[in-house]
Amino acid sequence: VLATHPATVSRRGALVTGAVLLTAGCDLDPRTSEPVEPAPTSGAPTTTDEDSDLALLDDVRAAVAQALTTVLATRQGVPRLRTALGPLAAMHRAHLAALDGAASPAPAASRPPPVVTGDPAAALGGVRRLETRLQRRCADASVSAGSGELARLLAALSASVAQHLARLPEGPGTPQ
Amino acid sequence: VTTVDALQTTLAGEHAALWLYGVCGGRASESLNSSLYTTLRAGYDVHRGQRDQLVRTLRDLGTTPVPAAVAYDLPSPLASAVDLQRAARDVEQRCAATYAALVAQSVGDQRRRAVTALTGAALRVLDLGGDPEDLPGIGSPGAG
Repeated sequence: VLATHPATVSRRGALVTGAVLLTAGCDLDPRTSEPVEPAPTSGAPTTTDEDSDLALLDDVRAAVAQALTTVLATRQGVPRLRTALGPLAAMHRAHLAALDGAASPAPAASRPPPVVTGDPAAALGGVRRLETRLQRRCADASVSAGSGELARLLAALSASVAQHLARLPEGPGTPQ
Repeated sequence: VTTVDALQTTLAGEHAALWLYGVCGGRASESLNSSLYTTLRAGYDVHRGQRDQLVRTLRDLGTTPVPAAVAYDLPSPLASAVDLQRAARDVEQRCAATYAALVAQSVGDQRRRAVTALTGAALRVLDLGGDPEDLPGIGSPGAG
């Protein structure tokens, strides 16, 4: 525990700095130029809040990474879905970059990528279910976050997944 | 910015959205472009519901909700179906940003409603001809 403590402190600092930097320069409300202060309801971040947020961030990051791995495996194993799933893969990569910008990622256990083959409709259905779960997970994590800025980032991730889900084709399309 | 301030800002945005949707719906042709008319009508209904919810929430907090302005600046031009669609899409993108800000400034059930509203705005952007974004309501990190 002692050996990992400095890294934990460093990640806490990065969480606060990263979440602010992610949204710095963005006018939260185009109708006002008033500075946005930290959420009053959460008060000053406590160590417990920050630890919880780091755990939340790691959890969401792992879920996004898993979704990306599955989407890439599906594109590889089911060529008819390669084009349709391209935007999803790009979105997940962008989300991982945004999450890594909020705090440096914790070392993750490496898992073998899934092997996806077979019926394109079934594979597409599997991706749709996975993304639907990810969208809810991001929304739930947003509600749970102690940091308002982290909550905003996670809510945007959830909305982005919802958009890409809406754009997924109903069927696998014609063979390529 | 307090939670009440963020709620009031969001309500002001809903007043403006409702007004613009009303104008756009009045100018859209139900017979010539039924798809756009239906989308605008559905958007109007959603924003009216969200406005009413915000008014109730602020009253429950013992605060007087901000009233709607007498009038708002109309985007120009606003004549063709493309103009109407673009104006409504712009409003949804602003609403997404406003709800994203409310997410940051709220907790619990209020934050849950803001997350849902952000997602709803992001989906209506698609219905209005927009494309999916990586971070709806925030935009690209560093962009503003």
